[in-house]
Amino acid sequence: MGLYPDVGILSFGSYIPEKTVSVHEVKDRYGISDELIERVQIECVHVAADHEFATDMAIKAAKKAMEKGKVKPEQIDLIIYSYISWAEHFIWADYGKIQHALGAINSAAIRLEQSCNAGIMALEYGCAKIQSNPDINTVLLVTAETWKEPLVNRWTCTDGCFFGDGASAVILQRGVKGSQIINFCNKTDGSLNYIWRIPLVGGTKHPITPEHVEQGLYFGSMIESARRNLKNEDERKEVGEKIVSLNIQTLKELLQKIGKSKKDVDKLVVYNVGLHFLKKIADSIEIPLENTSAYLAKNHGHIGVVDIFLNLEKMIEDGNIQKGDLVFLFSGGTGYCASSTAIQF
Amino acid sequence: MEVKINGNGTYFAGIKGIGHYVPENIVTNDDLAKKINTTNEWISTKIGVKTRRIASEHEALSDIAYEASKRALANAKIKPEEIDLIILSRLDPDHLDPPTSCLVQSLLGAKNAATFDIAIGGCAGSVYSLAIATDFVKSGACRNVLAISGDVNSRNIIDWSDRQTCCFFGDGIAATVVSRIKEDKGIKSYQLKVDGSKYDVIIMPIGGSRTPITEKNVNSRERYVVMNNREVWNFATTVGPQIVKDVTAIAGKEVSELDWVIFHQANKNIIRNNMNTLGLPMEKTYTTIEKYGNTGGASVLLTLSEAVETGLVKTGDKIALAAFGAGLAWGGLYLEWCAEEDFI
Repeated sequence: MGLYPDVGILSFGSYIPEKTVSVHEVKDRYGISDELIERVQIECVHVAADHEFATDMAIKAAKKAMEKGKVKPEQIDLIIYSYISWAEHFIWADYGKIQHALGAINSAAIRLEQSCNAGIMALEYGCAKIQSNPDINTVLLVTAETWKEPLVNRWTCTDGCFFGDGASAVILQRGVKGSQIINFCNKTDGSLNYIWRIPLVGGTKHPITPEHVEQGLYFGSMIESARRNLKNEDERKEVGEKIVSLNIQTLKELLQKIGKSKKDVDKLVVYNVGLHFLKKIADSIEIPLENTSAYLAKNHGHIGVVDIFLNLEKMIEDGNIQKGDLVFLFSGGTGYCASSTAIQF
Repeated sequence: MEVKINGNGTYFAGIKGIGHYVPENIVTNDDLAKKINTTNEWISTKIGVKTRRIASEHEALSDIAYEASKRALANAKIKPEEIDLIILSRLDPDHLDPPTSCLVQSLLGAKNAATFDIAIGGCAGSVYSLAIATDFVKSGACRNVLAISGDVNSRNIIDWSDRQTCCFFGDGIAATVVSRIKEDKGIKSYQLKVDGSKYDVIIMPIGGSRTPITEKNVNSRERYVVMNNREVWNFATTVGPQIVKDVTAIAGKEVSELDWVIFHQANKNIIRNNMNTLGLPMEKTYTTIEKYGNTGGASVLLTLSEAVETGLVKTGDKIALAAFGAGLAWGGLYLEWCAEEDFI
């Protein structure tokens, strides 16, 4: 029956910018090695126009989800907006802008931040909100990312993937059958928070100064952060093992919670990090790579929080998720955090 | 032990523990008057603030959140390992990424807790974080949720040359432990609202991807929060009393039955106005704005925490909370204060 028997996924929506850039077009400019290209297996990413920002794309994705679900703006009770890339303004009501643009006049709205896991975390909050409040029926989850230079370089900020732009949305509704969200397992090992701290300066820990800007320190780079914060190869290996262990534990506990074994999982939807990493996640629950969303990373790259809902939508559209499938969703993120959920189709 | 659940299969939830933290450093109105064109009389009369607390250089958001959380856990008499989820409502994190709630989890040693941050324009954060924590407990997903709300407003948010903002704000943070209770007491109703048509009434124009910080604009005043005070006043005096009426009515109670109404501590005159609109005497509210200024997302829970700490709040007291801020977002919550034995 699951923890959220009354809640199901009504519809999906997504928006992906038309412009694509392949890694081969930029490899010389950014010094991207053939070894990295071979390892991550991401061939191209979609890139937003200069004037296009995350909230603009979020609104487009949300409208598609509403159209597909035949949901009127006034029906929405809650909007949960998430991103990880870079705030358009550090303080402003982006969630309010989305609510206003959609005309969702009866909806509360918040931004939820949980690194690349925010999608799954928001999914659980949406379920809890509907389950706990008899008068709440419809929740819109919307995610969007744009990686803008010089704040972030989508090609060089990490050695685990390349980043793409886009937006995705999901509408949860009470009483929807056919996509029952059974349970979640979300874990955090906060002791690993120091590995990736983005940006190098800024925030209450290291307030930005004119000197920082002059020295070019105000940018996001996972590679540079890890280089500064991990002392040596031994430490790098140790934190890597802790991350893998937390990922495995998250999936294992989810199986325990729902009373299933690895062989019961039909499909796995994962975020679009490099293929080398996706293989490890798939191996951990002994699912063949062809039964995962890994094929979608190739032409989209890692779109941060957006991946999970986008990949789930695409796998359903492609016929790769069928009625009767038990589907696991999994993502990991800085912090370090890992999130997973089980959905019975 | 019998655990009652609602007709819709959900649990009951209440505040098991509450705590707050304000930095030691006190800044008086006279201190401000030495730096900007203002007076103690103007600030005291127009806003109601006499002093505010400002974080020391070594105190980031996670540090003050940790202090408030320790106090809330002690008050709840539970160990960090018993926390299932940490929710941190804030404006200005330690870093853009990872979420500051991860740092708090690590500092507390709350190794079994999942984490996430929320942003709801700061000032409405107390009620929003408490309501979200309530949903996770009521749904059965969590037994104990730590909801934290507050900010180091003084560091990157406040323009210390702008009296329209710097006279108002102070640093502070509050934390609550929301847990399962045996029967229908505790947090009985809440409402969360947003009017997104005014999403830019409170904004930090420079610093994000739309207008990145550069060598040219790094010293601009637009790196700090710009606020339309008149718009905020009109909004706060309209929605504040109404949300109290709404959540009290949903809980099946009358406003006249309330023992305490705790408003967001934006301005003492707004609080007076709102209590007057509700037809309630000032004795039925508790304020901290005089000592701490507007502590943003902390203010409602920080004020409730101090009222609890000083022994003013008794078991069974009927309490309405109301918060409002950027978004425009506002929220109200009605609860009845529980005794230790009410919790599972």
